[in-house]
Amino acid sequence: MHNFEINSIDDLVANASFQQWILSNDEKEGAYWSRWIADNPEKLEWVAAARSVIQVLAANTVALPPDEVAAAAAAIQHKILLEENQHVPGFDLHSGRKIRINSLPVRFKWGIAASLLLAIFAGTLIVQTAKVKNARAYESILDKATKVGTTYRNNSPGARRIYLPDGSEVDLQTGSSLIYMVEDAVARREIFLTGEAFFNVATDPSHPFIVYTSNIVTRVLGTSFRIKAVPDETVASITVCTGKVSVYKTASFTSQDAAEGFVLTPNQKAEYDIKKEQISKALVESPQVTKKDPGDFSFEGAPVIQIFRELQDAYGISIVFDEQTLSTCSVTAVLDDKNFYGKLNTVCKIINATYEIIDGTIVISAKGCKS
Amino acid sequence: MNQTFSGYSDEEIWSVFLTGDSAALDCIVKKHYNLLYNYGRKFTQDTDLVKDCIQELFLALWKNRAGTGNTACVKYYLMKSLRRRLARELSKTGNITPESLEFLQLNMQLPQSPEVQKIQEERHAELSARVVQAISALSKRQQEIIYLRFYLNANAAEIGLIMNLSRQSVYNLLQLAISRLREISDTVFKHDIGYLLLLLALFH
Repeated sequence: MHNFEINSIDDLVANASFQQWILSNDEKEGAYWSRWIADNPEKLEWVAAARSVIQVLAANTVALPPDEVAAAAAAIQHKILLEENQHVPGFDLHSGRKIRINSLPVRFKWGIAASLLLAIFAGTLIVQTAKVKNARAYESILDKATKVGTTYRNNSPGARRIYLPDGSEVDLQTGSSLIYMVEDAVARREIFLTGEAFFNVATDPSHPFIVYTSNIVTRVLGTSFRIKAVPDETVASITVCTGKVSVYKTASFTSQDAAEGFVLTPNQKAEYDIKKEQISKALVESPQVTKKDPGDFSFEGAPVIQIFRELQDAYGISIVFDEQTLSTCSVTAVLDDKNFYGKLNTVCKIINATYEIIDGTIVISAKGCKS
Repeated sequence: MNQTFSGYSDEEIWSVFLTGDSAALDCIVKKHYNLLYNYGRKFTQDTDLVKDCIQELFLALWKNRAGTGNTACVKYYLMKSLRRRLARELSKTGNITPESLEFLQLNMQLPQSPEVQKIQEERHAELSARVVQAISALSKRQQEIIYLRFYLNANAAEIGLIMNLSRQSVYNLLQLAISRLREISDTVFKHDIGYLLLLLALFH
């Protein structure tokens, strides 16, 4: 417990514990001061006057809502970023600003368009020089959206369901906010998100649905996915539930040049490391079956190639393996009650194989089986 | 608050910020935004101007970090910077000089506490009115000193830093302000025994 030396009224006014009791009615501090008053009844007038002084000094003090402070802080970070980009000293090809992409000959189930892959490489070359211009471009779009768009905020403790005019539904997490704007000139539905939200997008192929955060842009036709871009955190992420989305760096997307980006399919997520300015693709922690009628996962002497293909189909996750090496392997197993990784581990154990997850794709390493 | 910096003192976060870590600055911004906002509002009712000045202040800090050193107290350093910036901005539009930045008139409105009975409230309001009156009779500088000393717990050296005054003038002004405070409490004691008895009941 405290033991303050109070020799005058100003000692009392300046006492942090006393202030806390007066201003926030703190019970713990209150208990101390009640006892102190009982022990020092002659000093009651100090207490009375000090109380008034503190209240007068504290009058008109407001506590800004946390999201307003967060928005002000985000604006400062944003301006710093713009400032920094204007002072990029040179332009370094080996600066590690490339998006990490898989160098293995992966057969994506959905397939990334060749032109898109090309755009990733081309985008890497121009990204530095274009950065200044791009950052400004994003700011000008955001400025416009702030003026003409509709702003939604969630200051309540739980997630808030928002129904957008186009029929899309958004679950906005607490402390998050978004601006919705439809630009007829470019036939786009545009969202500017701060924080975290789950989107269930109404299908409208003629009006692509685009979600901007300060670092990443997600472009979709009709699908459901989650975006997390909380100002405080160093990683922004996008997780896909159904459908397909394209992900871009914001600076690249808002430029006039070909945007660098890649496609995300269900059970995949993109993570953007804000410090390293790197996007990487990964799998979600617990992949869900995305196929409507996946059938059962009971196999008797089935070729392992067939099992991998069925897994790939059911979960929409690419599994890459060497067909020739695995052609002699067959598996008998009941996998229905296991989750995706459980199934994968069991099969791999049986054929003595291992796997790695590289950019959202499962890559199997195996020595093959004796025939 | 940024998890990375929890448990660090302002001054430690500050030294991380000086190395060019924008997350550290972000943490400083969030931690002190409310304090700066409320302090700024003591000089002007233009809340947008206060917010602009806070933003400019942090952007300038970031830009000039190479020429900035460690500081003994981040909180008061920020308040000093905001005060200077506000003075400059207000002198552009208003009829004040940067040196004559003044505290706004203290406001009388006090929070209503529902658990307090009406008669106590009335008495309390009376006392508060006297406090406002007594403080208003002080110079604006003294009012600011009282605010900094008693509400923000700044010591004489820190007040001198914020208001750009020598330590001796802070002491002198503070002495006057304190004696005024003591007069207030004496008045209560001499003239309002009844109120004290009421208070006694309230505080137990």
